Amino acid sequence: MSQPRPEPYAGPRAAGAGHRNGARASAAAERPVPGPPRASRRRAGLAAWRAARRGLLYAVTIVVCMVVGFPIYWMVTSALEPGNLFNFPPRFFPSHPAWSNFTHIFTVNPLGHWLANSLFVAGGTMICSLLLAVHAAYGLSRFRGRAVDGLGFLMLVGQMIPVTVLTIPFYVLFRQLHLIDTLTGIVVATTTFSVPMCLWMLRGFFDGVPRELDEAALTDGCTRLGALYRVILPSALPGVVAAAIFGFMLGWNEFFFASTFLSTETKWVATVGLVTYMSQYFVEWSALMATAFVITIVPAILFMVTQRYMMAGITQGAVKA
Amino acid sequence: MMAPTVLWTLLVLVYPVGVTLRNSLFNVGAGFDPHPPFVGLANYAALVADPIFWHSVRVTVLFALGNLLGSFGLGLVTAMLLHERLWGRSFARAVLLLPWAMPQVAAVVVWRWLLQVQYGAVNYVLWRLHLVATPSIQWLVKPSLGLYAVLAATVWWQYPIATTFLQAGIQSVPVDLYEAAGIDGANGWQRFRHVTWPGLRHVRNILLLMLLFWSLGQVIIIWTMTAGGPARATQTLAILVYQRAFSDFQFGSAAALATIVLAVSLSIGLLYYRLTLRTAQEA
Repeated sequence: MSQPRPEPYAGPRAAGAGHRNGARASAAAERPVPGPPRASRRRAGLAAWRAARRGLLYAVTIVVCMVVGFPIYWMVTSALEPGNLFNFPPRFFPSHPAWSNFTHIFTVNPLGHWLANSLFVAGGTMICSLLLAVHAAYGLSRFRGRAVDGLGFLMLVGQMIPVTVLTIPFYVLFRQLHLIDTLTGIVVATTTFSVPMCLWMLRGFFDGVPRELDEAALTDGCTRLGALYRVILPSALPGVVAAAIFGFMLGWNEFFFASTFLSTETKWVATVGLVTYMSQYFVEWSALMATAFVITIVPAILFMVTQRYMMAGITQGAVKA
Repeated sequence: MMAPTVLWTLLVLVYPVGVTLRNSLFNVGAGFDPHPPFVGLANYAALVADPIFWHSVRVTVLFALGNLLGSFGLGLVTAMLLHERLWGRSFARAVLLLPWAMPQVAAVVVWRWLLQVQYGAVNYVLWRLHLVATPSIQWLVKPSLGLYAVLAATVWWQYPIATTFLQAGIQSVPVDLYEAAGIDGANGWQRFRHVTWPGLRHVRNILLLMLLFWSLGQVIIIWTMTAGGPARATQTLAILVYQRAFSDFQFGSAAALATIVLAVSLSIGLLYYRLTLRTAQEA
């Protein structure tokens, strides 16, 4: 495994290490060339230039973070504004945070019900895609051949088909299987889209587990599956968790199949409820922002906890064949 | 060991694609007639003659270009910033990656509020900065602005993936190359131009292809933000497929359209596959 594959992001420490290299490189670059008599003046100039460069970097970073972070800040402050937010000019700092918005949204809509449905879809998608992806990813990681490559390619293409293209055939299929207007149907449909990505992520993590471990398990009398469950999965646990969270997030975000296939309001998932709430004639923006916040907080926390593994998984999964 | 996944794929991927291909050759209407009349390639012929289809192609290309440029550009800038050893970097990283962790519909709700005509923050800020003459720009109503509004939300939601890819790419550039460039007296721009940029070549190509896929497949943000409007201004092919089926109930025409989209995806997929495979073989 000596290919010049980009190092996946492996957490702050590794990033720091990578960064130290960068710092060393720039220090080397800015080291004055020995020889010319004006060296000392140039060194002072360089120090000033370096300080200016750092100041500029900080300024740019802060501006970019503020611009990019503003929508999220705006969601939170708007969620805490009392009334309908029809203020001009907009209030950029909430003066009297109205925490009651967060209880109001559970009475005006069956939001608790929708969140429970979302949890079911997300959990179901997570479990189904893990069950399907773990075995296939292990196969793709350990075996080579036309069939394996074929499945790999199929998975890749599957990941790239627009959702709407599959909505119609799924509608036909689900009518035959009586899955229309059921949450199980949504799990099935979403799993289709999460399996490929989970598979690529897991395969990358399995590739990182030395084959010697499989061989040791096999000589100790494990079956292939036993080796996978007892040795490989525990060794690649962070990757498995990352793939699981990815499946969960995809299920939580699911909107298209849910809005097409679910007609009963109590079966709606939170995303469908949110969009319907937004499309009402009279929009209660502060309540809407509070709802959006509640729906965001679940995947956001999960993502923050597992981000280094998830991002590493997505990157290496996509970059490798 | 891979049998369950293969069976699953056959059921949910190959069978649906088969149904789509079949439907594209028949005049399938709203009633799901079990024996629809066979029309051959008439659905395709009708599409090629349909100005709405060509308009959609144009919108798709513009949307993909905008998303590619925006996400890649913002991703590159943020990746380079995160590569610097700055104080508070992990906080900045969390802020910069957060949009992607939001459900797309939540992102859309926030953006619709930001772009709201009378009370939206974007209009107010632009007006106060004297960038626009009036504080009530109808972002989601004017056909000429719809695509920009949708692109803003899409790029904002999508770019963190680009950041992650590019950061991984920048970290993989060998340090000695920078040292060599330093000895040769290269300045910051030259180091970027001749070391970082070529070093990113592989990651860059993959990322651009992925962004292209995601642009073709982007429906949630477009649908919930504008539903293809105003006046078809954001009606990409993926949106048109859905509308043909579930608004117009022309399932045959929708299937033909879907087949075209599939063919395009498949050819980009092959390109991607060759790209990743070639790198694997080079190693």
